[in-house]
Amino acid sequence: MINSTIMIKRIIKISLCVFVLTALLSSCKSDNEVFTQSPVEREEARQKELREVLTSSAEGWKLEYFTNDSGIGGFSFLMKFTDDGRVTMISDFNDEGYTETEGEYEIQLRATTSLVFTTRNKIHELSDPMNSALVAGRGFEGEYQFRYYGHTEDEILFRSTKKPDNEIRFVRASNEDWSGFENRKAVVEGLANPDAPIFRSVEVSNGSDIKKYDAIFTSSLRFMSFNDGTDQDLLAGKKGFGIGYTNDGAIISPAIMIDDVEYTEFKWNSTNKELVSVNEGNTVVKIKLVDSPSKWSSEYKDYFFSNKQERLIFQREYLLRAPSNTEKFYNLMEPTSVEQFDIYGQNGMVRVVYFTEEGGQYAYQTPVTDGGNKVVIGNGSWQNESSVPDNIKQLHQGLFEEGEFLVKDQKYNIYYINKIVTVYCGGVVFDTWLF
Amino acid sequence: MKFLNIVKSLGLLSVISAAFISCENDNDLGPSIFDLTEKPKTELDQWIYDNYTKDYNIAATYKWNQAFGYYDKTLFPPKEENVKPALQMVKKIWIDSYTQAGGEDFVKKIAPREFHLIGSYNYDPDLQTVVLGEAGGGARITLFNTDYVEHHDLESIRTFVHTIQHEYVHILNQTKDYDRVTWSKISPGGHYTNSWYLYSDEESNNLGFVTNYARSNYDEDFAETASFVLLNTKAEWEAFLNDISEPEGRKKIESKVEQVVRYYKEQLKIDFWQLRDFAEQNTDDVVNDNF
Repeated sequence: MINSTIMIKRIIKISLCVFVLTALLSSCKSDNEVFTQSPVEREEARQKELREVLTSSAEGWKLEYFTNDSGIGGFSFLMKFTDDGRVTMISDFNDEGYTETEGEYEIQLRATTSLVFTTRNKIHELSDPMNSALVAGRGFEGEYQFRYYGHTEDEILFRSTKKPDNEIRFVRASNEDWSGFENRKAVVEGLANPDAPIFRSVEVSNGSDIKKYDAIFTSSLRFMSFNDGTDQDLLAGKKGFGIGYTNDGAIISPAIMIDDVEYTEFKWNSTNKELVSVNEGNTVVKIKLVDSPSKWSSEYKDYFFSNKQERLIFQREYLLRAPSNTEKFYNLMEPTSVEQFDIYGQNGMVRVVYFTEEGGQYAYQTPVTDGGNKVVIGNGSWQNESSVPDNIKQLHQGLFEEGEFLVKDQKYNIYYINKIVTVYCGGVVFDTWLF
Repeated sequence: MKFLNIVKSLGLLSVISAAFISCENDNDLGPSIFDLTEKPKTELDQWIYDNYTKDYNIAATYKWNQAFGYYDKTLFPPKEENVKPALQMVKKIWIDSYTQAGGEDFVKKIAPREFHLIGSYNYDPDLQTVVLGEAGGGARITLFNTDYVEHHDLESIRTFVHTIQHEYVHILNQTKDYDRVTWSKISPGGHYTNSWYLYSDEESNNLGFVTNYARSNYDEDFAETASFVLLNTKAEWEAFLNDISEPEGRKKIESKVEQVVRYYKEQLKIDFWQLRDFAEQNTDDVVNDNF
């Protein structure tokens, strides 16, 4: 009984071996028919194909490059390739980007046929270790060596070398892409305007049904972060989306999906100062600039309208480059010698005291009223006004010229364990400690 | 015994004939399957060939090449227009100075075989330090921050040329070693540290090192000491020594320089101080556009 079982097992094993061997041999045999050329010939043909397609477009190619859409937006490049290895580019990465520069490109065999921009050009600005977006030393996480994965009539598909999941799509460019490239400056200035309120709202409307998603836009990163972080249902699990500018609007990544319809392309409406995306159906997605978020915390009531005196402190030494601070705030603070200012609040009165490096101390006091989710500033005055230097008055004017401000408790700390409270006054935003 | 010899000779004979047979087959190899046609040289490539490769057998490359490594770093290649000025500067301050002090053939005989230029800084975010250059096995010297060199700005030139002056001392050391025994008596092993970047230059001067980086190990100390003297003017060097508050530190630095001078004289037949004077003159020429 035992012997026959072993015997059967052995027969099965041998038949399996024979089967596998046959399979191996037959697969070897058909190999000859898969490729008619040697690997070297195939690689050369592939390189020739890529070179031909790159140079086939008289107006070159357009790239909307999202290097990491979990925290950084997109950057546009227009490029023209010549047969002798030269490439001309413009980009909207920075102001210098709009001026054409020329450099070299090569088609090399790396992991696979690859397009490499071998001398510095616009695309390398995304790889400057001294100008980093999210991680020190990593630049804007861009690359300039792309693996070739094939092409259609109007698109060349590459993949990034360091992040192979990241698809890089070159789209055939038109004359208008080049001639209208600077039109995007209106969009950039509209959306990233430092004088405009920092709040953004992503509104999804379908007929009379409007859903609002509060967000904040970081223009240096071109990234829109939801106030509710990953706890919103528009882009479940994502904390926001990246924005890339186009000649007449913007594209976003990742795409917003509503009822299986994708919303990625937005047009800039300069009258309403908003980006609008329409697709099939009645749904409209808008990215708007708003004075205040639709949902807001009520901490301000405790800080400015309760019987207990509260004190918010800004200290230059530790908070000048705090994460919420805007460039506009920095530019106001930079030229002054103010080392610290305190904002006291109690029973509808606010007192702001400025301390300078030279030992000066200047106080401004004003009544305030409750504006629903914000603090509305009334008519106030300086204590001993004649002694207050002009630059302190200018700073105060700059900080509070909106006439109203909002505050928000943050979850992060800076240097000390004190709670961080961010003050929003138009485009002026700064972090303070709650004492 | 005799039989064994016969076997041995037979064996030898068969190896020889085998070698011949395989040689014969070589003739059958067709043309290369790779495209070996040389690409036409650009004006810049021709300049490099004429000024570096032909005279000194040194290659200079500036195009991005993944094969040179740095896969995990964020860097970019230089702008084409910055390559020639950078290489001219290196030739003037480094090659010309050594040629003047050591003779026409000095650099031709001992030199790195390849320069590779990178446009960006090489930033290490963990240590928050910037690497100016690197030498691999004495063959290739990689120079970073090519796109940031300003040839009217003395400090900028020094930062850039520092790498080659420093790395070339390593290459010289690899050819002819310095007196390590005497060196280690000046600064014993315990004075060196991997955490050199945590200390200021001033602290390091007081301990007998020209820079904080010199504290990494004996070889770096020697290369830093030599290149530091080569980069500064005579007046700056004297002022530097006078500024060291710790007399013991100053004495050590002076002893190290004596060792450097002795090494150049005995091993390389070069008057180090004369070399320094040439380097100063050539640096002045670069600042004044005369290169």
